[in-house]
Amino acid sequence: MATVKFYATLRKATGEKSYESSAKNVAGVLREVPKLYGNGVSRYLKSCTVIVNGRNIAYLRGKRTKLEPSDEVSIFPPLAGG
Amino acid sequence: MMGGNWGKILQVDLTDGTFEDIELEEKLYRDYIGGSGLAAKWFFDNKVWEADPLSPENPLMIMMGPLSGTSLPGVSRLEICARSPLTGIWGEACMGGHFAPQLKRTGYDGIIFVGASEKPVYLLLTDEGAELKDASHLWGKDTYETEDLLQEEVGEKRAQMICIGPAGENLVKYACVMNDKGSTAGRCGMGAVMGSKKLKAVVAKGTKKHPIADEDGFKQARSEMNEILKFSLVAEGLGSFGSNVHMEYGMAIGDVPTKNWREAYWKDGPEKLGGTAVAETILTKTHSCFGCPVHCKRIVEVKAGPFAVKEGPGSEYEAAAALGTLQRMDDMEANHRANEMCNRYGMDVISCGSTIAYATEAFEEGLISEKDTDGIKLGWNQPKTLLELIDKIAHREGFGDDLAEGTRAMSGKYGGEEFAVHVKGLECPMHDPRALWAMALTYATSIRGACHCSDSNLYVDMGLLGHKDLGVKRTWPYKAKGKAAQTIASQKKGVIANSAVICEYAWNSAGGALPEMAMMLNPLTGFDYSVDELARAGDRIWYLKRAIGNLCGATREEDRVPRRILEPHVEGTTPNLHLAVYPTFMSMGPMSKMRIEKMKDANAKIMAKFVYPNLDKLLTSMKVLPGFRSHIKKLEAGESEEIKKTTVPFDEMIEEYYRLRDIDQQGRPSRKVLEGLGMKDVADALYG
Repeated sequence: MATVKFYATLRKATGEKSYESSAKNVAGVLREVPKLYGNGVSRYLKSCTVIVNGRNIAYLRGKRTKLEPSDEVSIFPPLAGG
Repeated sequence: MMGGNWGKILQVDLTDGTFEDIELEEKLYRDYIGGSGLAAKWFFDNKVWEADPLSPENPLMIMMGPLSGTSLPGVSRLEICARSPLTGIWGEACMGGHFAPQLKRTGYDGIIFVGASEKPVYLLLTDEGAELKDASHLWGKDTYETEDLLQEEVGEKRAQMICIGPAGENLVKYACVMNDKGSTAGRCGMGAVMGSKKLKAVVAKGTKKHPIADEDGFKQARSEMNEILKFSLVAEGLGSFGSNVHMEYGMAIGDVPTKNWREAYWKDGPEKLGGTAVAETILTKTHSCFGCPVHCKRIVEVKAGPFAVKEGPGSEYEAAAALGTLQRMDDMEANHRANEMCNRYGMDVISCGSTIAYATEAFEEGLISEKDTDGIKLGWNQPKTLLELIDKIAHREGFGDDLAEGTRAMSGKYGGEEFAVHVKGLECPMHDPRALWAMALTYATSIRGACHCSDSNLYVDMGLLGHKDLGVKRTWPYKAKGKAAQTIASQKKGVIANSAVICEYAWNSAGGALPEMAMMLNPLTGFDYSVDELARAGDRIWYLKRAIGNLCGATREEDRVPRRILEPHVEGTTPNLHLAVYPTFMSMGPMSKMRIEKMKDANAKIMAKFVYPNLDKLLTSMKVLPGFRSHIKKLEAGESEEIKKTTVPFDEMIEEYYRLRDIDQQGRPSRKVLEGLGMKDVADALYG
């Protein structure tokens, strides 16, 4: 199972730091999260950044990026600071 | 009649203790908007660019814009400007907090201090007028103590003040000006300019209501801005976790400088220093600048231990990084104590942290020894040493006297210029051009030195904003083509934000677009700015400040970013795969031996130009192909010659920038572009 980690306001919205997913790819995770944590989290996923094992999916296969057990998927809602 | 502005500034001569109201014509406000734009115009018109930054001749300008102090979100804000003692060129620092609304209510758009007092003084400005009062009893006090004492002395609950601490009094080159204990005019050493004038504080308390040209239109604009911010996910992140919400995301994309910009990726650092960790541990409450709904400020408390922090402002992102990851230190309590010390002493956390990090590396390299450091052994992840050095810097004690001069001066004395990370003497903020290539151009060409707040490139390269309103395409973080045009558009907007004076968090969270700026400015001022006129004003003010930099001695040579932050990290590997590599490997199908040889050559060429030293699974899968295995292993280990040659393509981007900006070989804007913006006098000053 891949470990899916939530950050910032998404963590606040789900109430969880992470969960274990058996989704086959990133798209599967993004479909799964609202089902697990309610539709209220969907707004954070619309323009989120997803990083798999430290690599931005924009430079992999996007939402089609395949996942394997022991993968780490980090989801960041739109944010800026600094 | 113009609204938003009063049409006058107060000039205070600290040498002879006199005051003068200076009326400014409406056209100046229209063309230069206000804030640092108007300050730059005054600075140029009074021809003070040759003044030594710490001399009485260098004016200290505290300027508001038309938005400042109104009931819009993110506008409790002003600009403090002068010739910078740290860089020697145009200096400006923006400050939030609670001071701007009170200053606006005294009936002035700004205050310009000229001359210098013989003894410490503070200015008290109320509806009744201005008065210089003795501040000898406050000299030596830190900024928190100074605010508390002045509040009691003035006896007006709603009075607000800005002040300096020991760092400003001791002319530390990156001393800053403070308000509300946690709001800073941080960069460029404005606190040292104030200290050189023996000006300890400015206190304001006013009740006058500034004119608004179209009350209904203004209320509509305010309502729209608040509505946009209510649903902004970026604003929500800032409100929930402060600016330090950036730490974990930043490290994930390679944007958080670690160990003096040497280390590519440090997983543990953000988990212990980031905004989420703070919210779960030492946070006591949130706070905001006056009237701002974003509410990005954090109040923290460390009750006991060697790094106890009295309940007060906590680290923003820049402090969490500059006094944390940059030192390879992940002790949260020590980080917040270091931040508190910088706040109390009145010092820029970015320049302070950067100078200490430089010194640590120089010590490691043997360029600095214990003889130089008063016997202190510098090293990474040494919280007690960090705090000791901050104290020494603020008081210019021993080695602190050297450190107080900043990174450029330190490297000039001890060597190690290659890891002194500054541009034009201003230390680079905590965003890495290797993660966001636009930041290389931003740092190189910002009018005050390496700065991340003078334009919106950070937000644009992170994919949060665009420039559709200016007809300019946004670019991918790792694409050089189009970066120059993007940077110019970002700079236009940044300049306008610092002239109208609005917080980038509020404005950029609301889209950062010029139509919204016009929506706010027009009903307030009564002007009818179009997007084109605002863009032109943005250009005019940028070129004016650039020209002032040239007049102060800056040339094209100084538009350089250190190689340290353009080349692959010295230690570790970055997480991101470059977009240019991915399509190459995606296009591979079954291959003949000949094709493999051709791919090796193509790969080497691509890697040499673009790639960061880390490969994703797609590349590691290529290990099964003969000839690729060892090659890819070397790439992953960062040992490949191709990786060592990889850089951010800065030269290509800056040449395109100069071409678009019409900057000559000496770094000056052309006469044609200056005259085209109505600045023949500036062109004459530059070219004779």
